[in-house]
Amino acid sequence: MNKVQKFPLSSLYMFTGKGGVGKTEVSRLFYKKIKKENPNRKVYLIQVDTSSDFDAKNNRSFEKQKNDQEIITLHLKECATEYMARKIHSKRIASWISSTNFYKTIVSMLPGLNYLIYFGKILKIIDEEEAIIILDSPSSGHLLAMFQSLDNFKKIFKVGPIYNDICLMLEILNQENYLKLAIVSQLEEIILNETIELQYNLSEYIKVDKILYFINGLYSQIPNLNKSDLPNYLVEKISSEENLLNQMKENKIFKNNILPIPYITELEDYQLGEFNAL
Amino acid sequence: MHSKIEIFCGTGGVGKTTLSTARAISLTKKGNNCLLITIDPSHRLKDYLKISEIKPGQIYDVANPQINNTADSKLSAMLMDVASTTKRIAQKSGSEKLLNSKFINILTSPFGGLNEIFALVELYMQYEEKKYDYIILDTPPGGHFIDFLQSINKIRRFFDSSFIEIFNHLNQESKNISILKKVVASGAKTLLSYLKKVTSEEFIDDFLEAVYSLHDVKDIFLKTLSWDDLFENDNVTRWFLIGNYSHDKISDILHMQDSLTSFKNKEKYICLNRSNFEDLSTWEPSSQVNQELKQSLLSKELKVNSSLRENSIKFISFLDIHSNDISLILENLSTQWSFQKLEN
Repeated sequence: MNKVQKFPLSSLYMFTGKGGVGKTEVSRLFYKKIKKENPNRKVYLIQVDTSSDFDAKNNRSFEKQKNDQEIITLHLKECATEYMARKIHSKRIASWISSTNFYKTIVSMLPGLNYLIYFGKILKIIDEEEAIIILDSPSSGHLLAMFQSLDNFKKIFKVGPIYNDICLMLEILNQENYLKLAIVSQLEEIILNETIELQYNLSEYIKVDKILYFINGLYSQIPNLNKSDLPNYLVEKISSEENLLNQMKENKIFKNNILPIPYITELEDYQLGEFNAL
Repeated sequence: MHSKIEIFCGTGGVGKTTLSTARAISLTKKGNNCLLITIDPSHRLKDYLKISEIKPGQIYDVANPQINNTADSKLSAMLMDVASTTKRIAQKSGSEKLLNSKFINILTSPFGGLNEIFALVELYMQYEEKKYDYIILDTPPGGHFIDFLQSINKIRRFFDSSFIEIFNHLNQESKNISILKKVVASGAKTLLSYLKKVTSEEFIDDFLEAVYSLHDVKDIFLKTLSWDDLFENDNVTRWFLIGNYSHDKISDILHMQDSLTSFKNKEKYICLNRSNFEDLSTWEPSSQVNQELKQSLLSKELKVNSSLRENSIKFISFLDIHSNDISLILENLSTQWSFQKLEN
């Protein structure tokens, strides 16, 4: 009945996709769904502050939902200081280091470093609270950078405590049923090709069990749409949508993992019920 | 004469590469020599430009006769690639160290995260060549207008202040007095000792090797700081921020609008791709669901346009081209560009 439920529950769901495809909305709905189905587990929706400038305020701050305590935005400075404090056993020195110019420069010049820090923090939350995390991660170019950064810094550090931590992180991420990727996209041929490329590139860095494909904004899936009464361009769009969707279903990469979502005329109506009906 | 610069920014998937390529075609057809710098054009774009054998980092003359149809102007294209830019920097400054640093090699890989910074350097090196009437830069995907501007500050920070502390601590034989003068209270030694604690001796060595090799070529990086002024100068740089009516990111466009207002350059435009306003407004739906769809799609376009007008932001709407044929799309978009009277 419910396609999503067929997959065994993972600890970390990373949602990714290009800007503007509705990634945030879809991950939020998915979070609500998982939360509802798992009343005994902690479920968090996490967003990361992607501005690579260390001191920059999060300028696209996440609108906090009033009754929701479990939506978290991670900030680089906090996470980095916390990590360092653990390593050198002093909060005071850690916060001194993170206030030096030298340190700020390194972190902002090496964007990969912040992903490393975020991963560390997320894995720690999962470990300590046995939580399920839905991560609304940065758009796909960045996603690859995120995984490659683990690999890059492994090569850079070679030995030592940080190196050991990275290895541990990779080990955890590669566990069975730990990490699931969810790619949100709109249906366009070019995006399809890029998704295939993304998946191919990812496999170099990380073992991904399964990728869920959320295809958002489909006109062809709008319930009760009268398809004979549409402007030409929408008629063409719908026929190309149906075409591409069929192509995807025949492609073994996507097969059985596709979750089409209709174009929603009003976001307010975009309720959990409809999402479950997928 | 220095080139005029046109910069295209926007999140991925909105049509940034297509619109910037169409712009370059339109400028070339008007008799300008243009260089298009782009990070990763799709394969179909390569086919259209007839540059399928293009190697990253090299400049190719576009062979498509539909574009380079006059003798007095031509379009050249470069697929920017951080590693090739690094090589060019090393050649220019005669310092091989940069290429031998393990650190730099890892970080200049395609997803090493230094795309924006190196795009700025590449842009400056091409700008100094004075070969083109226009240089059109399609900025790295994923980045935001502000991220791109912040890259200048990252370069400044790196070479101008903080690392000086390290150099002074370790490189006491440094004869550069001006650097020595800038020393503030140095916590470098303490910092490095902590760094060693969480990393390793070898890491510190590799790290310093990388820092030194960058310091060797700092002049090239520091030159790019002149973008600070050049980017705000409307006689030099024109900005295009790309958005897209068909994507659910009105908030993104409004955010762009915010960041624009504090930016002094007057030559800045928001480009909204894929308008279907005409088709939609003449549509007379018969059912409720269809009516709702029409309202939703139309109101998206109207909402963005009216907000931009209210804030007197210059914007250009591009009609959606209903085709899968990239040649047709580019031709049509470049015609749409040619109707825009941007030149003062």
